[in-house]
Amino acid sequence: MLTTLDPLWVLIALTIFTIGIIRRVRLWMMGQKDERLEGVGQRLKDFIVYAVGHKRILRELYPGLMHLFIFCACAIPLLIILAVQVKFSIPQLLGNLFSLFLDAVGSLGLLGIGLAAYRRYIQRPDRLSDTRAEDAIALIWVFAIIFLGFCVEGLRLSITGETGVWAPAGYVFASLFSFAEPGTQVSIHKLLWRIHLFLVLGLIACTPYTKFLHIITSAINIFLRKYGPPGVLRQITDFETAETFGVSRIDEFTRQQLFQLDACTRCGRCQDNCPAHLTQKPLSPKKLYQDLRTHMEEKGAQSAHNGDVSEKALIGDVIEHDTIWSCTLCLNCHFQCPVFITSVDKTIEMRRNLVLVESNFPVEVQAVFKNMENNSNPWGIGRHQRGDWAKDLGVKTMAEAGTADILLYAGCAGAFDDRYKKVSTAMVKILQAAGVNFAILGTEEGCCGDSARRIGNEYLYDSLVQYNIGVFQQYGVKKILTICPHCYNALKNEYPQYGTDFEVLHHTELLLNLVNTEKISLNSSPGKMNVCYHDSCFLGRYNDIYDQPRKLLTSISGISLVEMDRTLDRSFCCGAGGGRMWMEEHLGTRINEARTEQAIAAKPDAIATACPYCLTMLEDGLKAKNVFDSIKALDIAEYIYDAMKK
Amino acid sequence: MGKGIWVYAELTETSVRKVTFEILSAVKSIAAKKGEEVCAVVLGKNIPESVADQCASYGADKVYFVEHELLANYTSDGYAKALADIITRQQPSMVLFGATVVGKDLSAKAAAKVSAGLATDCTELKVDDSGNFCVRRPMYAGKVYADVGFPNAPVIMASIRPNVLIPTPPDASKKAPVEKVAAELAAGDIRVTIVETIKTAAAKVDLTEAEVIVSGGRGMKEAAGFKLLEDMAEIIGATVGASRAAVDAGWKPVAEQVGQTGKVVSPNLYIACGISGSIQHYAGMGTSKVIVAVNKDAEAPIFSKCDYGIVDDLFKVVPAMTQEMKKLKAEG
Repeated sequence: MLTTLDPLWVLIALTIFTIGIIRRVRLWMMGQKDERLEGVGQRLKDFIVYAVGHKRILRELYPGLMHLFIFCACAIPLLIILAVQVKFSIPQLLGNLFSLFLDAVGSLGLLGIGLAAYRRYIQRPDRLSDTRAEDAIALIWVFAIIFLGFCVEGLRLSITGETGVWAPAGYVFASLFSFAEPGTQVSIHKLLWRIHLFLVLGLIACTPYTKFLHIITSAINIFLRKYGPPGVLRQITDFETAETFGVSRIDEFTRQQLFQLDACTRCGRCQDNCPAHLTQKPLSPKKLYQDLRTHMEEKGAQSAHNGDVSEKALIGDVIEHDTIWSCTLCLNCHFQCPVFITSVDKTIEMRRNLVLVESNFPVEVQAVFKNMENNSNPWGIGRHQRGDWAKDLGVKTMAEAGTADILLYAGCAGAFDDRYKKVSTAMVKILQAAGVNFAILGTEEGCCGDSARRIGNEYLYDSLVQYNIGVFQQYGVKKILTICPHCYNALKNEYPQYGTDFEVLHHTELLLNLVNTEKISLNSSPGKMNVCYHDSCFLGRYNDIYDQPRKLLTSISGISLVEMDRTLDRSFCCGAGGGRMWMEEHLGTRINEARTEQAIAAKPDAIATACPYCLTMLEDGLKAKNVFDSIKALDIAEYIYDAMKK
Repeated sequence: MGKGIWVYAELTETSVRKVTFEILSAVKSIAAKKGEEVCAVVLGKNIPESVADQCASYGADKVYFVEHELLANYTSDGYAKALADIITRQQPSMVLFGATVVGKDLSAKAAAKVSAGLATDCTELKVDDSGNFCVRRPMYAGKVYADVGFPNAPVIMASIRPNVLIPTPPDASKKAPVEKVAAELAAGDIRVTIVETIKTAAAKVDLTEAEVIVSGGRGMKEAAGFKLLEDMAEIIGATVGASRAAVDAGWKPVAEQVGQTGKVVSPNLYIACGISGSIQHYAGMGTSKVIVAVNKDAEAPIFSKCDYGIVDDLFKVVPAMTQEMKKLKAEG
């Protein structure tokens, strides 16, 4: 049925497609050079699992299946069309089964489109509030292609008089045309087939210009994703020579960062899990990507016309300051994005620019920086008092002990915060009971720098790290035990950027080991109680520690776990990550109170955490909700220590 | 008698600034040790005699009134010249100032004119073991103290931080002779003309400058609870603050928040009512000189940080305190 002109149509479609792709590539190439890609094998495997296999897309059943149906209905017939360009023959039975399969794929495709339309236009979930005309056009387009495909098949069955057993859907469509004479049917068949062909060619041609682009970019983005511990920030190494820091213009992002903007299909799973968005802050990761993307296109158009007309500032005009400061760097959007788009790398570069170049940040952060600079803790308490918490505990400092198996790194909260000193004290007593050979640094300990880094003050972070590493090296430290997940993440995942190689343990890891090896015995029971464990972002998503705290809790007799709706890698941030601990929450409602409400909804007798920030935020939330007297919040170490009492 | 220890007596509209009495009280013993007399130096126009009596009651042995038409208002040029002239003429061994806005300005300028060394913003005056006068001054935002001596200084000059030294009770029976000195000033000596003095509304003192703060937290239970604190603040001239919990609850505006993310304050007296004293709050008021806590929870962290703690219901304690303060005030 192909005419001599058809190769020309195909060529035209491919040309339009190629021009569109080149335009997009030009936009991406405005960015800075990236590091080289490594681990192609792993990348291919993940491509199969996450792009073809829909692993993350299927985490949400309705939209997951919906997408899978449409995906299959487009991809499989397309593959077959390409395959049948080569002549080959298969046994009749196999062919029949294949026909049945294709029929099913197409039918499910129509179902998928129906589900999509129902969802977007009838259900209208909040995350699809930014529906555009192209969304409808795309659905109608794909629908028309599949629908016409079935019509063509039905007509073919009708004309050839084949049985419809192996193509039941096609058979149903055949009945649509039973009114026509066989001769007319041939003409209609020819006409519809050509429309079908042109719709397919049209879709190919318009892919780079419409939301169909995600078919290419989202898939490639999965291939290009970052490996290693998530949330590790790029190190700045050229403080002495660089003239600017972070990103204040769109072309200062890397090419891959710009590419990611094109991979977003506006599905909105990120904002459905974003603590900032859900408490009415001006941040939605989806909107962030889309705003950056629009700006990238404007910039691209401007440079094509050699003009910088209507110069919009990236920070301030395109992305508001409040948007940049609202992020808790909790990584929830990273984990929910089906195609591995990341926001933290972009937010942090803008923060770095604001802090290191513009000196423009929330006013209350000034004191935090100063306190960290002068006294190596955010509260500004004299650093000579840093060892005081352990004064009466009979703990040796490294200076006194000279060497020890484990360095217990108290962290600022463990050393200074009266509430968290109870946790560090419990930890010391557990370690002593278990006969662990450990020491602390006392006044020689410094702030790990996590908050400074995540607020964007890489310079301050750098100086804190340099000092700490100097002290660790002085004592030949090989193994560090932290209580705070923020210290843990910094020491374990980010200090290696400075060449460190010590082993880092979180207290939940060590405690579980002590329980499992029976170095400590949990004899005492608090009685029957339901405990709700709140996953710290920096422990869970950042470091994949979900099981240890839960196993510790259930190893105490009497304690049963109750879970919140948002748990494990969907855990909702307490509101204090990303330096938000040190900023006022002027906009929207309070994240910590939202999280506390979620915890209360699980009807626990008590709450457990393993992070000083989470503990502070949840305790504040319990007080605000007037349930502080009935629901206690404790650190895992406190539960364990209490259970060890005879 | 030696050449004399001088204290620059700074005038307010109606009286003498308190820091002058603090310094006079503190140098009495030093003057006695070194066998010198304590002199108060007052600059101005038509200085009332009562000023001399006040200075005498705090320990001045002699009072200089340096008067001139052009000294009616404070100007750096006029005051520094008049003071430098009399220092050059009388050669005192030491001149001390309050580290007030005027004192900081005048001391620096006068010291330059007579080529003297100047230690600023000192918190302690003493005589070291070898009998030399020295001062202690905070450095690096108070992290360390430096003891500063004045070897070979023609005149020792220092400014003293207000509210640090404690004035002795005044002795009204003590009188001191007044020596009036006419300053030699010409109109051309003063390059600045005071056109108008505008005072800020004498409303509430800003939190960060307040000497006394009464602060309330979640324990205030409701916005109306702060009425108790306002009553107390009114009696003792304090400024009212709030913890983050109280601000979050909407009982107080953000501008009145004390703490890590609010105002960082350092008053002489901080009265914390119904505040648990979490580290986030402590970071904003930990440097207060005296902390008083009222809280019904004996376990509250504030009790490990306060100088005086009352474990009881603040709704009973605060009105009682206010009542006592009223009485004390009535007694003068």
